[in-house]
Amino acid sequence: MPSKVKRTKGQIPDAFGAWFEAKNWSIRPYQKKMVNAFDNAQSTLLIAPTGAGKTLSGFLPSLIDLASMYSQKLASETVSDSACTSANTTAINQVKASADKNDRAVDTLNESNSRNRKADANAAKEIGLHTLYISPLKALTADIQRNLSQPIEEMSLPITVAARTGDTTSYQRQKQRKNPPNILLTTPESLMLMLSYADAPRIFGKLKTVIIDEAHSFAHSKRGDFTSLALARLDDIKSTIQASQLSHKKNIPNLIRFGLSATVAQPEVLATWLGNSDQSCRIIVAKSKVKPKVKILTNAKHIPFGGYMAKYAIKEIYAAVEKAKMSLVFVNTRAQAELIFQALWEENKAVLPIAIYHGSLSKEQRAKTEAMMASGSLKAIVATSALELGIDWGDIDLVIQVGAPKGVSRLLQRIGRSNHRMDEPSNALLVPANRFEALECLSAIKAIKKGELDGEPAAAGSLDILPQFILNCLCSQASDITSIYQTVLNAAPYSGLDKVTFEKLWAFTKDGGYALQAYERYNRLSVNADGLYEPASKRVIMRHRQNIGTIVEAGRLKVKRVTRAHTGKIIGEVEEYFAQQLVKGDTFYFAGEVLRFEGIREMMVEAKPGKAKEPKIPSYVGGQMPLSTYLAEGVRQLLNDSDSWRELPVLVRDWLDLQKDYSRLPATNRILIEQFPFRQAQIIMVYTFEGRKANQTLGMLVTRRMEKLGLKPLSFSISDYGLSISSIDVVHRQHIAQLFHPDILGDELEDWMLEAPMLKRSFRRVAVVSGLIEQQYHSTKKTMRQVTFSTDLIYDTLKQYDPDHILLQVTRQDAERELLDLNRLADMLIRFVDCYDFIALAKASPMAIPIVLSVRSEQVIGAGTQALLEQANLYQEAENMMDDVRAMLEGTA
Amino acid sequence: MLSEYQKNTIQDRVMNYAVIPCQLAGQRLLLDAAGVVFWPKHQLLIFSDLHFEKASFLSQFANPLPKLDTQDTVKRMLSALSVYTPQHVVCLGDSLHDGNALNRMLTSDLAAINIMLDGVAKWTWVLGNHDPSIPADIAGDRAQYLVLDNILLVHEPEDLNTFIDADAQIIGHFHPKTRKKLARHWVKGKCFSKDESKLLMPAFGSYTGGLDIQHEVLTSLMTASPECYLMYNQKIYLV
Repeated sequence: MPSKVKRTKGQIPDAFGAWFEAKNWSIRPYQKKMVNAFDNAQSTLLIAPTGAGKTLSGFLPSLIDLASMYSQKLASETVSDSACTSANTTAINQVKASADKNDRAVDTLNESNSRNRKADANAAKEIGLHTLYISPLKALTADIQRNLSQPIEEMSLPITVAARTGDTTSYQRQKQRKNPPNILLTTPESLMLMLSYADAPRIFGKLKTVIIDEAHSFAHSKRGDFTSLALARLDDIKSTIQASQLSHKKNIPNLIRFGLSATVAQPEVLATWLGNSDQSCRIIVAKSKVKPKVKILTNAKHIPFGGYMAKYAIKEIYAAVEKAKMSLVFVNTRAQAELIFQALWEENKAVLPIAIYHGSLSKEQRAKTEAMMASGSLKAIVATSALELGIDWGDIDLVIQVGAPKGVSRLLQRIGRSNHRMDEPSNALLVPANRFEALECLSAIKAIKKGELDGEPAAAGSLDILPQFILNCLCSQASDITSIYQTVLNAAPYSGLDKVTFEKLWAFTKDGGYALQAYERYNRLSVNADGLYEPASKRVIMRHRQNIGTIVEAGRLKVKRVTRAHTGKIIGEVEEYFAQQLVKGDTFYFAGEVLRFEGIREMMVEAKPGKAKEPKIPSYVGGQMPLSTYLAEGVRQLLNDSDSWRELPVLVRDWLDLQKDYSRLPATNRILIEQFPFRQAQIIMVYTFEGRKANQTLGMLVTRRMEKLGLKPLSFSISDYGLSISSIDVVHRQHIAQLFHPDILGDELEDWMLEAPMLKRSFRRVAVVSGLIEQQYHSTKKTMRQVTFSTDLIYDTLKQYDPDHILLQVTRQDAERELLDLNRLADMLIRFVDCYDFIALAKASPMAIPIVLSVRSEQVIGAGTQALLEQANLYQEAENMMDDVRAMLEGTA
Repeated sequence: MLSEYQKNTIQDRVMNYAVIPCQLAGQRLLLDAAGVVFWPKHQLLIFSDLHFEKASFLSQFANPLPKLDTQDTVKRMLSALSVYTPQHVVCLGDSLHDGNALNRMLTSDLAAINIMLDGVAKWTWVLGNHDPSIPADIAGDRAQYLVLDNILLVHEPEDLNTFIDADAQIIGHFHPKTRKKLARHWVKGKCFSKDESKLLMPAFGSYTGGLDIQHEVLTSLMTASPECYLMYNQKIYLV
């Protein structure tokens, strides 16, 4: 009987074929290819559109391999225990037995169940951890666990599955560590934590394959680098075990890496990331035959100039929701989610079940919404990107995107949430929040029609993770510089890392690596009797484990919905910054209701349900998404192609016409600069269309030059399309050539790199990720405010006394990677020398409005703010006192 | 009697918004954007809350922090001393971050501090809660408090009724800071806070944080609307 699960390479066993048949599914060609890839131990990147059974394709080879391993193990046990033979049916027979409702067979099964279970448990232990599944979202692991239980239960496979995330209880963690499941579902951070255990080689020693889900969503970020390092460490463990077993005949093949990804612009780049430094992965692409149907909402009576909330279109959104079976309303920020949700309910005369979902809500609340969605009892859900990735529910037939899509790939991912079947087109409605966004929506639709995607280029691995990684390796096992350096080199993003830099990072990990420190008594690392490095104390290990990860969160406070005295339920989190603005009695939207602020107690915001006309909306720093450069360029083209304006809402067309009349439209090969007064300051508005990062950098550099020219810059704000700079003095035409001269990249850049508050911001992140400052300390989170203060001070002293310190180098790299876009900016400055159209206006132009209204602005430290202070200085009083001093000085003379 | 040099530097700083004069209990004091007070009548320069060796204190718990704060603080003190060339210096408490600070201090930093002291005729360490005693390795006088004319110099505020001679006090301890919204822009920084009988000094030490003057501890300490002198980018403003 075990022969039935015994199989030849590359073939799907009968039991699995039968299961697919019973489900009325057919095995798709790329699913077969994945099984083949597994049998040939070939790391592979599977690229498939949503709804293609991607996740199952990733797991299928593992399920098949595990099933056959079990039947071999259990078969060998039946030989030793003949009493069990009849009962020990194979998986396929069990399926038949239950399917046929064959009572006698079921009885037999029951009798021997306990024996079976014991045999299964033994086999499970022997097989150990076989497949590791890594997902960027915790929520995804829960979802996958549910989905995996289907084939496993229906084929009665003894395969064990467990999830391990930050939410897993410590009891469960202990159990998993002692007795790892065959399939473990986890996040990059939890994996890194497990790798820091001394028994990591035992836990991961038998691992055959790693599945990385939604690889496209995080590969080219710090978290992607982090995951790459974790994979390199797993390879390490594997090869150490291999080396120790060389005397045996058994040859352990390399770890098989499976990446699952949505359609991306450059699959090769992703495949390189997924592979190790020596070898990129093979790519399998499953193409979608149908293109989605995407429309822009055009029937609204009015579209605002600025703002990101799209509240104007609530009636139309509600009508669309009402008409559809089930819809998903995507927004770009959490604040938007709260507002749209609230507005939809105000409109909700039919009392449709509409829910809200975003990352700041409590775990319980999110789980509840997920369950309701899965059971089909909701009509619509307002969600942020927290729901963008693979969670698979129900029959959504419409996706509404509120606000600009920001990227073609991102939009496709969101649209793919509807009609989760591969062969039917998805339906989507785009609701631009302002007139600029309408242009962006149209560019995105054009790109989808042409089948074009935007891609992010891969960057070299970020350095601040390395001290963390070094410590992580040493927590598991004492080691030396050379072997960990080798491991790091094996991770694709770090293949070009030079030894000198690595040694500096090592020195930092050890004792801070400060040049001017004469001696050091309190090192993080010490050398043991074998000459190997290890963590200096248990405390170092404990604190490292509490602070693993790459995501530096803005300070958050829990929100307690208080009903009586100080008791109540925690319903989520808001940012510290927001909470500190509130005074008792203020009201704000949270989790879809109006709350009245009572106070902050024990690091918690206490609030009571309340009523208000104009509540505040919590602000969340993490919400802003950068526009892909591809789309920004699309918008620029669109502006100069008035024929295609026909597809835009009338109001947007009017707006463009007005701009043409009042000022002018930015030409494709020139840069338009408008100058006008606005709210107690002077503004220049620069339309670059170079994306957020480049505009940010340009803003920094130009304000610096303005400072030199005595124009007293105050602040600047950016959008993807342009940059607006406010100053006290007026900028004139003759200043432009100087302000935008490419040499700002020389003088100003160097000055600025050393002093800018932006760099301090990077340093803050770097300081936390590299372990200089800790976010978690004895499990009480430091408030971000505390972290902020100390890192700024440290940055200043380092800059002055140890300017070559490795962390400053890392900060610069981080800033260039995360905040600047130097290449693009340099290219722009050179391309447009003498190509500026300067117009002085009496008021903000129609196109400038959305950008000058942008809330977030970057402040300039210097003469501008000083001028403000001088104005605000209690002038007369100060002047009197000055006279007094002058008199004193004279008098004593 | 101020020298020509002193008069010139003070005049320069007044003109450049680096100094604002104020009156406390009839005494004329200069508040400097460097975070120090100069009392012309006594040729007295006051520092507060130096917190030497704060970084090395934190590093004892294996924080890989740079321990350059003492050096930096001393450097900034020297620069203030060269501006005012005072006859007398008072440090208003919490000069050392903790009782063990001196054992951790680099010999070169300790030497630098003593050389600095050598250059001033009289140096008084007022003791604070972080440094109830200062080891003899450091020169200078120690005092719980000091009364000059009708002003008490002390680390934490005292009940003035128990000091018959004093009408006002200059204190440290609280590390006041503030922020202010001007034409939609936030400006924030360390500050002096003053009412009729108290002048709160900002912390001078390099790694010292601050307490907002809106915090209840400070609002209950000061009278209703204290004057606030904000230090910003090497200038000082009455806001």
